[in-house]
Amino acid sequence: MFPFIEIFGRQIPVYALMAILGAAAICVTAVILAKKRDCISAEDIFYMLLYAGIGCLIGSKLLYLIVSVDVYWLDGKSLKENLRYWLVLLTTGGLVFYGGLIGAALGALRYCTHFKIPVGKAFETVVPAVPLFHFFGRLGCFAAGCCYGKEYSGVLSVTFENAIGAPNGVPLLPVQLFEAAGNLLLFTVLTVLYLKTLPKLSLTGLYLVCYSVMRFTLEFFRGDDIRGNALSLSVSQWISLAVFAFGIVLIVRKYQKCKILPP
Amino acid sequence: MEGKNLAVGSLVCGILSLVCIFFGYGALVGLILGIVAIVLAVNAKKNGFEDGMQKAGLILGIIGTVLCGITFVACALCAGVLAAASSMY
Repeated sequence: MFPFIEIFGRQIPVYALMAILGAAAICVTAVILAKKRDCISAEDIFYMLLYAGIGCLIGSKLLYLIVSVDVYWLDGKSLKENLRYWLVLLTTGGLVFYGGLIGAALGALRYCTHFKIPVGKAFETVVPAVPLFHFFGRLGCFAAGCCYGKEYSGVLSVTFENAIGAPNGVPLLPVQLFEAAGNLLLFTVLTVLYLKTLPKLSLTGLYLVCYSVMRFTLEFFRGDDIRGNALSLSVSQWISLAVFAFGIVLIVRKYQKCKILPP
Repeated sequence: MEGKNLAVGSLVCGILSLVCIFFGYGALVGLILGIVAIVLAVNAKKNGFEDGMQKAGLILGIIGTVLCGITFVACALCAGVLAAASSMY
């Protein structure tokens, strides 16, 4: 659609702007949620999100490099040429959300363990806002034309003209918008449940279960097969299975823990 | 004292990360410096040192990371670019 926007004479990727908007939205939302419950200080939540943001940036790029790069070392070329090749790899190409999610979780975990913040409470405060960040990210994907869907000519099909990743002039399924809508719904549901304060429910587990199911399903409608496949499932689908299982474990553990502890 | 040193380090890294934006691929170094500035500023605060220098280091680190990150964040698979990159060499 419109992968770049001109600001002060410079071409800025719309995806990057959306990511910044999403980051701002998650910070504001998480701080507001923290103040509603008052069990973790808003300052700790903000700093934890900074650590999570750093982890997200590193994790998303790292996973992209792992699944999308075919050539890791150019045989017969000098070290300098290989370093230049790696610079090109790092400065072009894309990001993978699951890498970002894992990286963000590790970054947040590092903050909590280092500064002795209760991990469970901190994650439960921030998790409702995570799909909001992802919502903006998927809008950025749609603007850039990446993470596109399969060829489709029916209702709601979209034809890109200036896409970076998607084939231009071909009607496609707007999978990015479907996932954005799903994330917005997930954000709404998780925020309502957070405000209801249900002690037996693990919001982190619920988010992981719901998102993994959504992602697993939508992957069948993705048209960008270059992302990586193994045994007829995409890499993200395999990760979704693992995330789903982990989410179930969190939900069951929290429920059982609340049943054992006295009220 | 340790908190103050961390705050100074954060401020220096934050300033350098902003400078790196103007040097093309140097923005990659700026991104790393911005991240370091953020971590140092948070650790300075946690060590009990909270003043203008720590806050400035944190803010500059965040701005530097975001502006340098914009250079590299492009959600485009650019398979063609990767293929071209490897075939160029």
